[in-house]
Amino acid sequence: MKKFFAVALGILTAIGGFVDIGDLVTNAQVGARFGLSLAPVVVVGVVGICLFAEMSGRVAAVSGRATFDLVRERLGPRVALLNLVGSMGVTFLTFIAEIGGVALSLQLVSSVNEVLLVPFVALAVWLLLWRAKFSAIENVLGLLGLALIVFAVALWQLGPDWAAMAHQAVTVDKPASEDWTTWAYYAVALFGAAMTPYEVFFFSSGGVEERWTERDIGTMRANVFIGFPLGGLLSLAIAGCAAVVLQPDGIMVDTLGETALPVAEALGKVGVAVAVLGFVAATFGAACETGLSVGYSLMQYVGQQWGKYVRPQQAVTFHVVLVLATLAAATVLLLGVDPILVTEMSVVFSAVALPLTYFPILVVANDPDYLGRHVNGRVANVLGTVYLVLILVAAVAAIPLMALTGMGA
Amino acid sequence: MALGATVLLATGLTACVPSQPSRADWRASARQALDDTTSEVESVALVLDLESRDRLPGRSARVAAVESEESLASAEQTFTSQQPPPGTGRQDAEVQDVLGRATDLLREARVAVTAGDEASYDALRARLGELSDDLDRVGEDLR
Repeated sequence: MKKFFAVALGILTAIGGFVDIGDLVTNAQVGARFGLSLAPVVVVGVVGICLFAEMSGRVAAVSGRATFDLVRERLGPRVALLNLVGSMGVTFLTFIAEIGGVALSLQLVSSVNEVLLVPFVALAVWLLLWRAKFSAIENVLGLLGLALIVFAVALWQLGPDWAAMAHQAVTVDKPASEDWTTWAYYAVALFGAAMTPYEVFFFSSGGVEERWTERDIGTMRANVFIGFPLGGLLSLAIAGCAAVVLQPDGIMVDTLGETALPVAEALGKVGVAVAVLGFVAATFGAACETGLSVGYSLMQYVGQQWGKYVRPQQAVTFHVVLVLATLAAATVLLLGVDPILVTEMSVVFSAVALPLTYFPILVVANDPDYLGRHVNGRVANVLGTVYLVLILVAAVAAIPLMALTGMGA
Repeated sequence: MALGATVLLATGLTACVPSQPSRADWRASARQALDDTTSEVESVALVLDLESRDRLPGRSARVAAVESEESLASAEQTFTSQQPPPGTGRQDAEVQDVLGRATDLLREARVAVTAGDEASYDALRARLGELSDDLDRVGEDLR
C-alpha cells in the first residue's frame, strides 16, 4: 500500500510539475494563433522528454550520481564545460522567466505591478531553496500545480467541436492568415518548451537527493511514462482553450492574464481563481527546480558538494550559488525586462541548447561501467538517435527562425 | 581611440534619426501594428464582456485592461517611430488615425473598468467592435 501511494504521489507531482511558464505561455500563444495544428509537436516533445528523463533517472538510480556529474567524468572537462555553459545559461534564463511568472500570477490577483512583487517572490524562492526539504518542495508545489487541470475542465465545459479539433490536431496545416515560417518558429518553441534542459538535470539530481536505488527504477518509470504524458495533456488543454475562445476573435496572447480568459468564459470566477493558483504553483515550483538546477549543474561540474540532502553547512558554495542566482534573476526583472519576453527567449534558446544536454545523456546511458545491465536497450537507442536528429534540426533552425519571424510576430 | 570616437559619434547620430524602412518593410510593420492593435482591442472587449457577466475575480479585469493599454502603447510607439517612405502619406495617416483611436478607446475602457462603471460596458464593447472592423479594413488596404 505504501508503495502504491509513493507511485501515485510521484505521478501526481509529475503531472502538476510538468507545466511551467514556458508551457503556459507558448501553448496559449500557439492555441490562439494556430489552433491545435501544432499539437503533434507537443506529443513529439513529450515523448522526447520521457525518453531522456527515463535515461537520466536510470543513470541516477543505478550509479547514485547525477547525469552532469558523470558527463564531466565520461566526456572530459572541455565537452562538459560546453554543456555547462549552454545548458546552465538556458536554465538561468528559465529561472528568470519563472520568477517573473510567479510575479505575473500574483499581479493578476493583487493588481500590484509585477516589478514590485519580484523582490518578495525572489526572497520566498530563496527561503524555500534554503530551508524547505526537497520532498516538500517537489510534493507540495507539484500537487498544487494540479490546479491547472482546470484548463481541461474548462475545455470540456466550452464544448468545442471535438471532431474538428481532432482533425486539426492530426493535419499538418495552418490558418490562412499565418505563414509557414511562423508556424515552424512556434513548432521549435513548443519543442523547446516541452524538452527544457533543466527538467532532466533536475530529475536526475532529484533522484540522487531522494537516494534512489535500482529498486526505485519502476517507480521512476511510472512517474515518467504516466505523469509526464498527462502533464502534456494539460499543455494541450491550455492550447485547446485558447483555440476555442481567443482564436476566433484574433486575440494573440502576450500576457499571462490572457491565458486565463478562456477559463473565465467557461467556469467564471472560481475557475479563474483555481487557474491562478495553478499558475502560482507551477511557476513557483519551476522557479525552485530551475534555481536548484543552476546550483546542481555548476557544483557537479566543479566536483563540490551539492544538494539539499546534506546540511547547508556541508554545501556552502552550492547555497552561495543559489543566493547569487536568485539575486541576479531578481535584478534582471527589476530592470523592467518583460518576463513574457524572457519566457519566449528561454524556450527558443532551450531548443538551441538541446543537443548539448541530450547527446551526453545518451552516451552515459550506454556506458556499462556506470549502468551495468541497465544500459540502454535497442528501442531506447533507436529512439534516442532519432530524437538527436530532431533535436539537431530544431537547434540549427531556432535562431534563424527567430530572426526571420521577429520572434514569431 | 579614433575608432572608438567614430563609433560613438556614429551611434549618437543614428540614435537621433528615425529608422527609414523600405516600402515593403513599412507595410509589413503597419500590418503588424494593426494586428497587434486588433488583438488588444478584442482582448479588452472580451474582458468587458466577462466582467459584465461577473465572471472575473477581484481586480483581474483592471489588470487585463492596463496590460492591453500598455501593449498597445508599445505597438503604436514601434510603428510611429519609423519614417514613412515617400508616397505612403495617405496610408500612414489612416494607420496613425486608427491606432490613435484605439489608444483613446482602450484608455476609456481602462478608466471605466477601474471605476467599476458597469453601465458603460455595453456601449464600450459596441465601439470596440466598430474599431476592430475599421482596423480590419485599414489592414486589408495594406495587403
